[in-house]
Amino acid sequence: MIQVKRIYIKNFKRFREVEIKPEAKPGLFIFIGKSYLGKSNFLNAICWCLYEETPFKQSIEEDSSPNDDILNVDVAKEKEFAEVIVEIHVSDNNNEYKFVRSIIKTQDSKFNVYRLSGSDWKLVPNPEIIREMLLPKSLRKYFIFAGENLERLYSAGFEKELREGVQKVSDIVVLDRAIDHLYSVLIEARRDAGRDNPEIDSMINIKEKLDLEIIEAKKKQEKIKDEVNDLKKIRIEYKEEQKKYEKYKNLFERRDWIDRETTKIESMEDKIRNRINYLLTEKTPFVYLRKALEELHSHISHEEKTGKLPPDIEADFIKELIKNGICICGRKISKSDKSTDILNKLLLEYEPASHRVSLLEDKYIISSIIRDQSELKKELLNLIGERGGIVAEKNDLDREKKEIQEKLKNSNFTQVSNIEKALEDLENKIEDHSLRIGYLEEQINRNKNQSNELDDKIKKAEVMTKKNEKAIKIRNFLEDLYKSLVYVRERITDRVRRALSFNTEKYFRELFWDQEEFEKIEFTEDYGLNVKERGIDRPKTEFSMGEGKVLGLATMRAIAEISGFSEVPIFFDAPLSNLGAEIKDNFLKIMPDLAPNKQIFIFSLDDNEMLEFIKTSIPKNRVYKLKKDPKNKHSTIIEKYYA
Amino acid sequence: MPNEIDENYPQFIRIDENIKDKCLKDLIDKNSGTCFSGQEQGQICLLAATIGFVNKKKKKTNKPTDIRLYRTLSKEYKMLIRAIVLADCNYDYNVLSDGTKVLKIIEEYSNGGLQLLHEKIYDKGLDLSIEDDIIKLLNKIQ
Repeated sequence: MIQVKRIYIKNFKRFREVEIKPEAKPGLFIFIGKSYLGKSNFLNAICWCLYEETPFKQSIEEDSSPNDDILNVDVAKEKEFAEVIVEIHVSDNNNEYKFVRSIIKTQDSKFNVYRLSGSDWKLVPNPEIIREMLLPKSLRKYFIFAGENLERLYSAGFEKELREGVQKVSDIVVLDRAIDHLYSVLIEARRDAGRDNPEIDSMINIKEKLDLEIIEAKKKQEKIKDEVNDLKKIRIEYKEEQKKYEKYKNLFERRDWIDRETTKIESMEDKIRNRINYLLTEKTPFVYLRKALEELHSHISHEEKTGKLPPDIEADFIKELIKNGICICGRKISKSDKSTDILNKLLLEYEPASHRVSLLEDKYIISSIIRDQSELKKELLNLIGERGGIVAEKNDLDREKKEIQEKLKNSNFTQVSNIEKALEDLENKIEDHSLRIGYLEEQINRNKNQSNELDDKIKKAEVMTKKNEKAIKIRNFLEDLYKSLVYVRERITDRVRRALSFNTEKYFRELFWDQEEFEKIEFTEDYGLNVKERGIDRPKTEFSMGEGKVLGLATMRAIAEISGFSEVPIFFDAPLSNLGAEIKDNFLKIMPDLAPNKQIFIFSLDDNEMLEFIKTSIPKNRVYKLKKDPKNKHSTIIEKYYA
Repeated sequence: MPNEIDENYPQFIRIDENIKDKCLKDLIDKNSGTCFSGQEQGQICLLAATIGFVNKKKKKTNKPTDIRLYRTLSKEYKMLIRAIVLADCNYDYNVLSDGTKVLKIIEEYSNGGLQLLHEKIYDKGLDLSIEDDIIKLLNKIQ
């Protein structure tokens, strides 16, 4: 078991100088602190010391120095060229080691490993080898990780990483090396067995060529698979970019909609304005004249009462009589008749009054106009109100349009179509690659068959010629051994994969709240993830953040279970972030079981769930607290929580 | 010329050319933003006549110019003309039988009204559309 005995950090980011000496026993160690106090940077310090990388993102507020500058800000103010040092002191069952990395600005970092010999620390000549033996870089992400990034375990291209990781943790790598070595010996043995036998020799040559082709094809296939993975990664980037522009696309659509709406509103406003203008020019005169009209009305009424308004029939009647040459008494008269003169005189008297007839009509018109004026007022007020509403709506739209224009200034819309085209090209490439992988697969199978056939032929020929018997025996033995090893390797890989599937599913079920939902979780031969949800395959991209994270955690646990490094300490940042309350509970429940045989260092916010958990489940001497350094503004100190 | 305001008459009213050029054109200008913009000239002249009458502002036509009335005058408008003319000549009904005289009175008020409107909207720089006035008037009456 590898145990951390001491961690010492000096001048690294938020840590001016901290030292912790955890109990060298398995179990949980908890570090709590508020945001921005450097929890992630503690992990970065460890990663930096061991692998010279700082993979954990820090919040901007926390990061008071530029990313590339790891020197503590407070120290930098006093001394620009101060040394940054991180030391990790670990022990495995037999030895004690100290990993030390240090750097002074502008220089390369120095990495040293010391072994305790008696009471002295002795420098180890190849520090990387010791590190790989104890805490291999390729497995880093399985023992130093952040809860926030856990859900990204299953991002594009994860299959390859997972496969490599699993192969490494299950020691298949060692077996692979043995198989490779055996294969080169086998080739020699084959040559020996076929020596002095031209027919066999040529067959061996062909067989070797075929085998080489298989290896080449496999390599090509791997390469193409890697390319596909890269393309998939790019696809994700493009999709995100596309999403970004999607926003602009929506804005464009919204702007067009506003334009259309504005045109509609304007035509509505026009209609209303025209109606108002029509009413104003058409009806206003009557309103202005209201007084005069009322006066006329009373005049007419008066005239009517006093009989001064003769009915118009009289004038028309006289006209009719004159026209037809008829006297009032009905007698025919000529134009020269006296009666005609009388009629003409009468007409002269009555005719001016004939227009008075229309005055009677006027009386009614005036009444109705005055009556209608209240309607006119109502209509006008309504129209004006309506127009006000419309104008306000239009103004709102105008304002929104202006805002959109402002936002759109920052967009380059041509890029949207570029990205869309690039995405289409990508899809085509991926499809193309898949076809090539299939084609290579065919070639490999064809070669394998031919190679097997040749094997048979060679053996038959050997029996016939009976030469090099000893060499043939050795070759046969090696051949069998090789086949057995390859078979064993396949079995181990298969078992590891099954174990990974089984454990992942088991831990997932333990953590996940809705166990009914998921029927089966398994890894395919290519380490692709297969999740069946009530009988339906679900693409991994459709996991929610919480689900993805739980799945990531489950996989981590499963890998730790099957790895030869299952006793490596785990550093786990923000385990509870992005988890729902129920999963948090479940997670805290299983947390003590996570570490039956190793140290687990948890870095968490001091939220209520965690404090409660600490109270009930963690021994007092295993809880630490990150606090702002009272003396240095940009620094953090670490104390015992119960001190 | 018929001597009465009958169904087809008048087709024109005659206002002072000067006033047409100076006032009427401004008022009906599409960019004027007043409620008269784009409306019929004849209609505006009749409205102006009522405003001239109410404000007792008459102006003789020195150089007459024809303003066509595109629509046949409604009964209401014929009544309106009679009302102005009768009030102007103290209810001497006989005046109504002389169409030319009737129109002359209307035209003189129209000139005066157009000048008033133009003065109100342009010379005094008031942005008041007639809308506010009319609502005020209506409010007073109702």
